[in-house]
Amino acid sequence: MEKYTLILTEKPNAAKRIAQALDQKGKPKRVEEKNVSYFLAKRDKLLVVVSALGHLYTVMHIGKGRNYYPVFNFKWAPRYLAERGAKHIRAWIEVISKLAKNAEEFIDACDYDIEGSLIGYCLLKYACENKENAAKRMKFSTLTKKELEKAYSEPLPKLDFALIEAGKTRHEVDWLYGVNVSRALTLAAKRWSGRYATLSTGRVQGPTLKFLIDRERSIRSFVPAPYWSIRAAVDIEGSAYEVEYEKKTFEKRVDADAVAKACKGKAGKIEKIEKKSTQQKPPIPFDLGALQTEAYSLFGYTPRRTSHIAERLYLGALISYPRTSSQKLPPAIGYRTILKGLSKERAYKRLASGLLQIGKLKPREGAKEDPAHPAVYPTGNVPERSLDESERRIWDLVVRRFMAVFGEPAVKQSMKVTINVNGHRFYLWGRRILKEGWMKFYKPYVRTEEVALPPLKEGETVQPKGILREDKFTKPPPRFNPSSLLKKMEKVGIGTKATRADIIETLHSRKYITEERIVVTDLGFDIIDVLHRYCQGVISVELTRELEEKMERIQTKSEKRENVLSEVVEGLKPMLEELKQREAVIGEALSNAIKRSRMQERIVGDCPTCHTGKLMILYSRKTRKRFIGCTNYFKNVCQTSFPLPQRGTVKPLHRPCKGCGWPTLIVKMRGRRPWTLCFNGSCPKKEERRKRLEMRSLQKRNPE
Amino acid sequence: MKCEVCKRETPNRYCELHENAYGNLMQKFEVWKDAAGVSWEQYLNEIVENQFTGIWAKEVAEHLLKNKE
Repeated sequence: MEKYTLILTEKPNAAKRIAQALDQKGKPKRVEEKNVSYFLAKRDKLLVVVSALGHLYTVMHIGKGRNYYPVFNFKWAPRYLAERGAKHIRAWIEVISKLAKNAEEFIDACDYDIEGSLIGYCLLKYACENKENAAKRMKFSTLTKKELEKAYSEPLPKLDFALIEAGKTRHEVDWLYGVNVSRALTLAAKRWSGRYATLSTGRVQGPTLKFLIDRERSIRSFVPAPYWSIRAAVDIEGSAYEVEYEKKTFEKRVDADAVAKACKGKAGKIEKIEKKSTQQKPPIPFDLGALQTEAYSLFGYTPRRTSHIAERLYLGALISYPRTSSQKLPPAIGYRTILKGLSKERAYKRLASGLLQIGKLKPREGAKEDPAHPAVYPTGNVPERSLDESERRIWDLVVRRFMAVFGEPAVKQSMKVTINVNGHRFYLWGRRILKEGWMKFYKPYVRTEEVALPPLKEGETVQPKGILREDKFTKPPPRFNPSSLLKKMEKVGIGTKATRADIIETLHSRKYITEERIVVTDLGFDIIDVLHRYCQGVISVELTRELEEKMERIQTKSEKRENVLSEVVEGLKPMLEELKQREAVIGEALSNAIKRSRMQERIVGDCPTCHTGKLMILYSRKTRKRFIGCTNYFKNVCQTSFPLPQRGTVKPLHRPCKGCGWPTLIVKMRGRRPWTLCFNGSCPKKEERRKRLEMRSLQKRNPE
Repeated sequence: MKCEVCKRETPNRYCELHENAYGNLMQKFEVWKDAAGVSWEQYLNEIVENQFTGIWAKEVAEHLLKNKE
């Protein structure tokens, strides 16, 4: 084969798209070797485009065995050597190494951010044998043909080594924390109980769990205080309108009672009507965090899900690179070209054409900048394949937000009507939109409620309709949800835009937290308790943030990787020593927590027979079969038991049966759809189903 | 010594978690007394029944009611 330029990408879809964009005919040849695909594209010369599968190299301990700590010596190695489930990586590295041998030029076309730069660097250094200094860098924010061609013809002359250094440090620091503290916890529990259970914590995981614990403590220790308010409505032209009392809350019940009593049966007089117009500016463009927050509040998608959907849309060249913290849209992205592209889609035709009529397009922007990428924006391409519902929703959200930022301010009018009832003032509020402005582009995602009021005049009399005292209580602080937790992490400056969502998922998978409105489990409490006592640095938000700042300084060449690493090692040494000395105590605490957590997982609900015990999934020692039994069985109080399916997995659903209110389970078997099981033999739903089946078989037998 | 509510080892009457909840209970009683004129027992009953009371505060209130404190 003739000599060629080797272009390295981060993911297979990106390789395909780049090859298509750079091939003269747009039809690159796909070659497959060892189940690894790469593309041959013809341009001014032969181009070979091959992808990685995310990170192919990782940090690995130099030495054997996993049952000891501290470990501070590491190297970068192929993932298949460091991780059990990464055997397939070997073929990718072998194919890339082979392709590198005949290449005369190298271009790194991985995503232009910290992770992408590190992936490209590792491929060039290790798989291509030290080609990192010879390689050029393609920089692009969308996978559109135009931008890819430009990035190819005007590449950066070298890799961004400061970004790579920062990326390397981040991985190494995370490895040092993660492997040492996680091993200390896991080994302490294993040595005490003799049973293995993965217990992990990390540099960002620890402080994140600490926020959740602090909130959980406030919720669980919360004592409500009473307060009162006045609830009232007025009758205007036969319709009831809710009004607000001038004082929103009363600390004493007698004061609220006095108001209700004084207004009872009295007519109201309209004292004043005030109208106020306000302008509401357009929203700012999406950075990843804002997109995740909006998608959670509109569609209930977790930040991680939104991130994955956005990634797919980026690889489909429908939106720009989503892992950005920028809130800016520079003119270089070509506003008009994008809008022209969008106007080809029926749903956006009218809106995009409307914007194109404007002489000079100027977006409203936020303050945050990202040197690598602009804010998230649509490329102007229309989908080449049919999008699934979630992709369609996120794409629509990005498109509408993009158009909205160019809109004019919306004008809202609020009307405040003051009604005097026996010397007490009530307010009636009306709201309407005078000018839609940007809102017409962002429908249906605009959150605004209009309250239309009938024509009213000052001095007019209105009839109050029921003035009541309302008993209220102060509420505990709200639980975090994935979106608000992500915001909190962003606000305090821990984790990166690429890792935050995954950290929340890890806390779930380790069973430290549960539910969507996050509840910390006993295991989560115990982990933080141990770390708080013996290893405070791992859960300190301040230390984590300081470390983040230092790593960011590496990016701007004002800090050195070696300094950060040695500081981390020196900080970890005394903590790990303390953990080792207290291993027995820690092991006992963690083992008990694991045991409790495992028990908790098997509890199905309250026993419907004795009402004091709990129903649990148990295993018979004699038959080795599983069944549901009451915890009071062992006290000889309750003999309640129910059979269970013996195949597949069975888990408590923590949701009562709709037919009888008994606890339910979810059964999952290979090749079948999971189903909900109510184990109550006399559940009315079961009876209904039986009758239905009988009826159906009767109908089959006697069709007429 | 063990926590009177959850039996965790503690040098005090309550463990750290229940001690905090107990402190909150004592503090809020004054608010309830001023606002609604309730007695200590009425207050504890209200707290046990209230949907917004945290689980640890509820456990302490139940414990105090049981021991008629």
